[in-house]
Amino acid sequence: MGEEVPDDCTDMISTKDHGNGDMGMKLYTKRGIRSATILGALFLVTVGVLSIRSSIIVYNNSQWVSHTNEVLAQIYKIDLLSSEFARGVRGYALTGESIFLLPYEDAVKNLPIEINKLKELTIDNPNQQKRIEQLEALLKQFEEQESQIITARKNSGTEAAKSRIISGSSENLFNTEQQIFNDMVKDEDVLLKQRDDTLKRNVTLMQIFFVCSGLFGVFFLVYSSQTIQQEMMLATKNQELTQTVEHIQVVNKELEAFTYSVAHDLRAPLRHIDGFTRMLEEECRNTLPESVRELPKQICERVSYMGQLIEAILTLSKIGQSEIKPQVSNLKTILDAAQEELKKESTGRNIEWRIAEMPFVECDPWLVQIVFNNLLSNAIKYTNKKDPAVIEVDCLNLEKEPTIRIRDNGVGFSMKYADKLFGVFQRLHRQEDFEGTGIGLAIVHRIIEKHHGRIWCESEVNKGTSFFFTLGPQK
Amino acid sequence: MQTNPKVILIEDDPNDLLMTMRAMEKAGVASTDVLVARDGDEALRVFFGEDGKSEPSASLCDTLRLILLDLKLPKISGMDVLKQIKSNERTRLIPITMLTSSNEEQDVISCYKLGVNSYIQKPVTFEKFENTVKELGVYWVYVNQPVPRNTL
Repeated sequence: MGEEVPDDCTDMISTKDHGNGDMGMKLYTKRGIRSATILGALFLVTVGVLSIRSSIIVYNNSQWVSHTNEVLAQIYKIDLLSSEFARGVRGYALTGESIFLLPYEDAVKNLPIEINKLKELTIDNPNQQKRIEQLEALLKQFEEQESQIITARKNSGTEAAKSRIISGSSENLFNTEQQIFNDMVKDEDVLLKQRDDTLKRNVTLMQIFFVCSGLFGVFFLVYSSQTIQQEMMLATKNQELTQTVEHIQVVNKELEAFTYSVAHDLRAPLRHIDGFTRMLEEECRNTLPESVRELPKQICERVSYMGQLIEAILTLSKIGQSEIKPQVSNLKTILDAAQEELKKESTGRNIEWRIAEMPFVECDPWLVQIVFNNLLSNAIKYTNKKDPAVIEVDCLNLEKEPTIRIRDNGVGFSMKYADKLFGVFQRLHRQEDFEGTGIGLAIVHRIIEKHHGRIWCESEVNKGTSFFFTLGPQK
Repeated sequence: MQTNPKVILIEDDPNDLLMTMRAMEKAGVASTDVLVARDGDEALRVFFGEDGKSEPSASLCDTLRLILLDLKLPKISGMDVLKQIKSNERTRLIPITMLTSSNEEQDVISCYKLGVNSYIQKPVTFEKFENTVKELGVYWVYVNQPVPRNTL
């Protein structure tokens, strides 16, 4: 989904106008997306579980409904059988034809079977079980009576059978049987209605769940698409930024190269100016009027100074363009080398050097030597009015971040101008008092920058100056 | 023009030329002892003739004590001139000093690889240049006698 956006980076996302004014104030943070996803997942899981449960219930319900229908069918079957039973007997009683005994025998044979089936079907219903027992007892009585009627007919003829029928309680039995049947049917109907209602309820519940999850799905889709859109915009902006940064870097490099070549090309004409001025001076030394006799020398001096400035620019530019080659270096060795190079500047001076233990540090030794050269040269230069000049070099804060300190007891400067210190050609003292181009500290600053370190200073007028610098993160 | 100069100066910039001549005069080398070539082609013609294929004359190579060669030349580069001089048996023993306005490490290394004897960076101040040429002139022209060819 593009670049990682940190959780706390809400100010990158929220309040600014992104050109999609409709969702202006919403916070599409990573936390928001995460919560929404978890919520959505939970919701969908819940809906899923409930849906499955509902469908099981619905299935069970429909099974129960068909079960109830089965029971009803069974009751009707028994009813029919017992009617057949009676019909058969009546027919035989009237006609004596044994053909009428067929349904009777059939019923006698099948009724017990069908009653058992009904018993099984309603085994969970104690009321029905009781009724079935009643039915069984009743049917037994019924059977007895009917068989008596048959016997009467067989033995004594139609009249005997008729009187049997009239005197018997067949009708009562029959009515009681019907009553039992009705009660059973009613009972099953009630159950059926109950289960039907439950079914309807569950179906409605399921429908609600589906609608809800559908709605949530839509909401989540919208939210996600907004987030994706936003991420895409961020990614585009990121890319633009990267391109801009690259462009700037290219332009910077071109600028450095340009600076270098310009400075380089300025040297030749400067050389010629100096040369010709010298030649002029040599030729006209004796013929120049008093008032202008010093002028050629001053021209040459200025040209020389300009040459120094150009060299300074070239050095700074070269350092700016150079690749830093870090390696573990002994700062003491570098310091010694710098001191050696500065011997010329320190001859004839009374300088007290106080050098403490120097650690091993990861840095580019050649560049760091330039740093020491410049800072020590400054220390020597700005203490030239002190006798003895005291220059201390030590290392502080070794555990967390090694910080080199170079302290002198020289002329110092007011901290008011501290931020100007590292500017190109910036000086805080007059040329007549202390010579220099004002490039040394700019070079130092550049080198420290390349090491991803820091440099700062503390000073007080006439009390001396301390420079502190670090050489970037140490492994 | 002399036929047997002591110094050959190959320099294109008229101002630099003027100053170098001046510096050499101060160092004690007469301008009549100096043959000037304004570009690489002219210089090579002096050694290798109009067609560029002749052998350099023996008398020229005997009297020649120093070649001052500017690194930056129009058309054919100073490096190429250096290469050609150093690849000819007769001319390669003549001391050559490069003159240049840059102190690019790479240029210095390349020149020394090709066999140049020394290297002057043209400084901004004329005084410094004068002194260097003086030392150079004194050493190469008057102190360092050429090695006799038959002893090699």
